[in-house]
Amino acid sequence: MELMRRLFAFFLVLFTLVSGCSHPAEHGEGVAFDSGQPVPGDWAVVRLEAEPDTLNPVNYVSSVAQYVMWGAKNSQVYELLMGYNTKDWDVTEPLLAEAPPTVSADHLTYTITIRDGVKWHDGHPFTVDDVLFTFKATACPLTDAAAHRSSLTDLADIQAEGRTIRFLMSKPNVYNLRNVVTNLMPIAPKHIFDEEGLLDGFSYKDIIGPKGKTDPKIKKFAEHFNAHPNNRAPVGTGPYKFEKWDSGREIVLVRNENYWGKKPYLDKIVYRIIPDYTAALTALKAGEIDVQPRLMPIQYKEQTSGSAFDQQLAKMTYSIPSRFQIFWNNERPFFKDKRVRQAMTMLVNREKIIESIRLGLGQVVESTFDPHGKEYNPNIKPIPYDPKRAAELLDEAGWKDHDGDGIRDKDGVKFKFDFLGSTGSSIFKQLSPVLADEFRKAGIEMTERIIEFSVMTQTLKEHRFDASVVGFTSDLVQDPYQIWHSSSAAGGSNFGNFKNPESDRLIEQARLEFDDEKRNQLYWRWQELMRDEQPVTFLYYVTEAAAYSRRFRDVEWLPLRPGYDLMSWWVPKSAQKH
Amino acid sequence: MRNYFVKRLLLLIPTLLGISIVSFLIIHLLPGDPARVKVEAPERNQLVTEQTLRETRVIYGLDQPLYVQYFRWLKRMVTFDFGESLRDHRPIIEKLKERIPVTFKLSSISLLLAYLISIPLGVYSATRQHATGERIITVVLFAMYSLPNFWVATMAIVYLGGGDFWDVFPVFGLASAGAEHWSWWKRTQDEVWHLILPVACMTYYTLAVLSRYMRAAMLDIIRQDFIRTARAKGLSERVVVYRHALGNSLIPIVTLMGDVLPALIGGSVVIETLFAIPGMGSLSYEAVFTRDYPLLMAIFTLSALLTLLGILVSDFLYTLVDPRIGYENRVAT
Repeated sequence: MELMRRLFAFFLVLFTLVSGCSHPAEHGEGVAFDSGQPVPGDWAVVRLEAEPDTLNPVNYVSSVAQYVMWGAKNSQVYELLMGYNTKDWDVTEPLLAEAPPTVSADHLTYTITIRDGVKWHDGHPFTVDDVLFTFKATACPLTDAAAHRSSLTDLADIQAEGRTIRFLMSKPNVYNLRNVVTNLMPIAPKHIFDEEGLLDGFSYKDIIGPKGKTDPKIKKFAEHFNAHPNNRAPVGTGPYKFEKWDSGREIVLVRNENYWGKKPYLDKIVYRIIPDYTAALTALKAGEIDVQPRLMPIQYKEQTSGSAFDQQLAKMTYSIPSRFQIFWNNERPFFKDKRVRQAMTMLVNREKIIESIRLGLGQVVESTFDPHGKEYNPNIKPIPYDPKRAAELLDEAGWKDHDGDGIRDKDGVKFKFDFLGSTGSSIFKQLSPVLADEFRKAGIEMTERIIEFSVMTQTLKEHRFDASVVGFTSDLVQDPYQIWHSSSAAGGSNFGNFKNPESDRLIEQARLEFDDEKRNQLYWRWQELMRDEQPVTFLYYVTEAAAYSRRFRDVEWLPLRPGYDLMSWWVPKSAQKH
Repeated sequence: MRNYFVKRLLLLIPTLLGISIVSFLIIHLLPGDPARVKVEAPERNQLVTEQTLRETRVIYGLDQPLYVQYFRWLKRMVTFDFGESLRDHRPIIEKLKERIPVTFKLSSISLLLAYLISIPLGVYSATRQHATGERIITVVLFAMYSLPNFWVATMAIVYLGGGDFWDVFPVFGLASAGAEHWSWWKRTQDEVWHLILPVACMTYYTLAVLSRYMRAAMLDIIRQDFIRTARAKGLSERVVVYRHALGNSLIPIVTLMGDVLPALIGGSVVIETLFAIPGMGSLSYEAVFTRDYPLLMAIFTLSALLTLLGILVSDFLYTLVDPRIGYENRVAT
């Protein structure tokens, strides 16, 4: 078996060498097997870095659960009403909706007509009741869906009729269309999860009202729903059907031959759960898995090259909407002054940090927005690394070394602070000594404080820290309200307690500005303000690296987690392995 | 003697109760709670209101006072119902049924090997003290003792897992893909092949420790008068060592046996993570980090029970190894 594979690889190389001259690289760096039309067949064995908590589309928490359930483009086992179009990554590709929603003039009502003739994997027809059910189950205070319920805050009611469904909002917000209707809510089958029709007698309004918490029928439904056997055996509408979930080992999906849309080519997707990065890369090299969507920087740079690697495997990089930033607690005496915050950024050599920690896999950005999106203001140049100017700013702000002990102070307060990190955070461990060294040279003392991962978010939310490095992964489009508005300092992700009336005003205005051009202008202005205020120090925008088997064709990498979309992948007949 | 062990068995009940109360308190006093862990994943930058947190706490029964929660747990435990995991609402017993056999297989093989190899090895090093062979063994054992298992396992994966070096062993899981359709013989072979690296990585440290214990105990015994007497009687060296010395030197090893029972289901986080083996180690680790209270309680209770039983068993084994040890007198007092 092994010998056969080696021989095969050998002939492949020969073939490339011979054919390489006449067909100038059709697939870029790929090995040309045979050109032409995609054919069905073969499997993709993909590494999954952790085991999903559940495959319930409403209650899930872990991101790996999402990768399995609807992948990067909102359609795999389950599907959403709308999907991404790959041109501008707007959510305008109809999936379970027949067409993009129509929006009322006051931006309070969204109307959607669902696709006709779609069937669940068990043959049951898909109807508006399924959509209505999904929203009811998510909003129900007794289902374990708290993580997703918060996106429904502005949803007042839903009305369904025939194939049409209307979403009524309590207030206008430009993000509601994307967050409520199109892009966050995978549709769950009512006939599976509520087989007795326990929620039928209740409207959406009833469920979010007082009845939702107390009614015995709703209670019974929620208990049943939370522990439903199909939480581990999803029945969806998508191009892949669930086959099996072998706990801690693998999850297998097979192609849905009755899919309503364009059928994918691969017969099976096998997700192998391999937590360790070294084991995963070894398994990839040994041919036991085909796709390793996330390599560690060191693996990308040093362990994925050489002729043996190149014969079988290809590697590449892609960026995802994930960024790291240092939050300064703006309430602390030293970080209150924006000049100090600017100085802190000037003391952080971001280029060098990307070079040394990420081995180049990252990009310096001075914004919370995705650098590929329209909201991003390209005129903003990142604040350069400049310890001299930083020292001047610190002096100006009154932070001088008055008592001559080598540490700056002001009004009797020494410039000494804790850098908060969690156990197991590798970026913290790498970043902390670099920063401490740089700050010490500038007369600032930084010490480490490490707490357990499980209490990290709580500590940040309660502002019980001086400074900390935090990573956020989001959708490509995001509302800055959640991280930057002053009201998000209580319970939201405004960990640094940043409060600025001008920033609040711009964020609020943008939420109500339905003209894209005008809204982006507001955001451009807001980003200028943020560059000046430096409530946080943006570190970098993440570039991910992946490696995969060369037998796949039309391999696309997307700027979204998990980075791959297997719908377009296919394998030429001669190279099919399974 | 039987009375004594019956009494000891009965004593398990109040001891377990005490342990469960302490564990329950410790678990609930840990900072953070499962509702927060669930809804506040740091990278999910969503607004989580106090209300949603409260709602989730109600679902998990955490809104009740601590003593009510404890008595609810106790009531369930009396019927051997461990309850539901908070992470995915699956019955805990089901999760344990998936994980315990895996860990049991790994640990039992590993422990068996460790004892089978370390006892003769210890005897050998004690009886051939200062011989060249013994010196080499000592060096090797100390090396094994000091090498961290995550490093050894990673090296094994990199060099023996078919990456850039030798393709000798599979590097993840306990069975090949599709093995469930193979014949029994082929399946067993495949499984043994998968087990070699993780078992080796789990065993070498225990092996090193045990054989040193064995050696020390043996050296202690061999210098005693009764051994000299035995030799003076003209008994052959084999009889001296294996009949007279070995039995007496097993006491420290028997004491260590008390840890064997809980170790059988304890599992190793490091080995399980590196080799992608879904066992008890990773389950416990995950339970701590997600603050899965009922699951943690189940694991604590099981380990406590097994530890207590292990101590009992080793107390019993003393009587077999050394007839001078008896429990009648203590029972009488």
